[in-house]
Amino acid sequence: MKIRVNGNEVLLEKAVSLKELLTLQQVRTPEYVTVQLNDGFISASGFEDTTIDDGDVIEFLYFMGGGQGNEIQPRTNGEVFQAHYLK
Amino acid sequence: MKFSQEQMERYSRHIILNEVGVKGQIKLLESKVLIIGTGGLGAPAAMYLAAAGVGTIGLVDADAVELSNLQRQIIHSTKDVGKPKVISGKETINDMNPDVNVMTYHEWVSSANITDIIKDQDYDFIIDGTDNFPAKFLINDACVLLHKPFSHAGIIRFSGQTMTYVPGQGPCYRCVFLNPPAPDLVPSCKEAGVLGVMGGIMGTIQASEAIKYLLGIGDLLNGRLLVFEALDMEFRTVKLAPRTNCVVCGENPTLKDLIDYEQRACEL
Repeated sequence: MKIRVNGNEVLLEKAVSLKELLTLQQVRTPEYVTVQLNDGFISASGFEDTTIDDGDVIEFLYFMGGGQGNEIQPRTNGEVFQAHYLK
Repeated sequence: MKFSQEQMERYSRHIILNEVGVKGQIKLLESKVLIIGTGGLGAPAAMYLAAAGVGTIGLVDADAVELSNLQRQIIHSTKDVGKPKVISGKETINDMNPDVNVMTYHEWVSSANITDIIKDQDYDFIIDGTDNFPAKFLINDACVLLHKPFSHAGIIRFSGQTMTYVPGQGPCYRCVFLNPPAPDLVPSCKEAGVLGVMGGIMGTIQASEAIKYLLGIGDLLNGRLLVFEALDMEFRTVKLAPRTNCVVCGENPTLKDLIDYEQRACEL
């Protein structure tokens, strides 16, 4: 099935939950990501119970500060999550 | 209000635009914009608004100019290192356009002062040029509670985002991002880096939004988040969903008092 994630087409072999999609898309700090599915926001508590369907349009919206220095750093590697836009 | 010959010439490229004209230019000269943060975003926003002849510009910042600011904060110069940013900004604007009255607020915004600062000149539009989430949420909440329109922007590395809040016309920043990231989940803070031009690109978009709002022309970024990726050179607008249960701008708001969120001190 075909979905759109942040404007890009993504092919999925099978239906997945939103939580699984966050993992598949390597979103490292899901607790900080605002998820918009089609026309509504999905709260973090609903990630597990939300199933992604064919044709769904998903937006992961990230916190972005000012590049001044007080930015959030990831826990695992050198990449900053705010800049981790999905390909 | 009458234009001097000098003003006719200075603003001639605005005046010949049907959407601006003499009337629009007078509107700009009578307008008041508050810019919170005189850094990467606020510096270019302030300069273009000053050049455009926005009559009153308020600058809020407690910081002094540092050498590492000059890579992107183009309102400040090498000679300004060590000087309060609001003073350096005021001097640059005064040199550029004597029509602009610059108000300076040499302080950080907090729940204790932001309402008074916004009310000080009854600003028409607010630009969030801050670099931290406590300030971004504070500005959002204050603007929602005071029914003031504002422009949010954030930049990091090669990415930027911006949206405009207009009272009663679409979601606020809190509708999208709910709460600042919890400080105890933030392991450390150090320079993440940002391409200098990112502030210029996003800050001048904020200035464009302010001018459009003041003139009442075009479509604003209310209800839309503009995302810019410099490496791909791609702009994308994400239509934002409404959040009717937003605690500050929703149908039954519960947030009535401004919040000072904890800001983890930078260890750099």
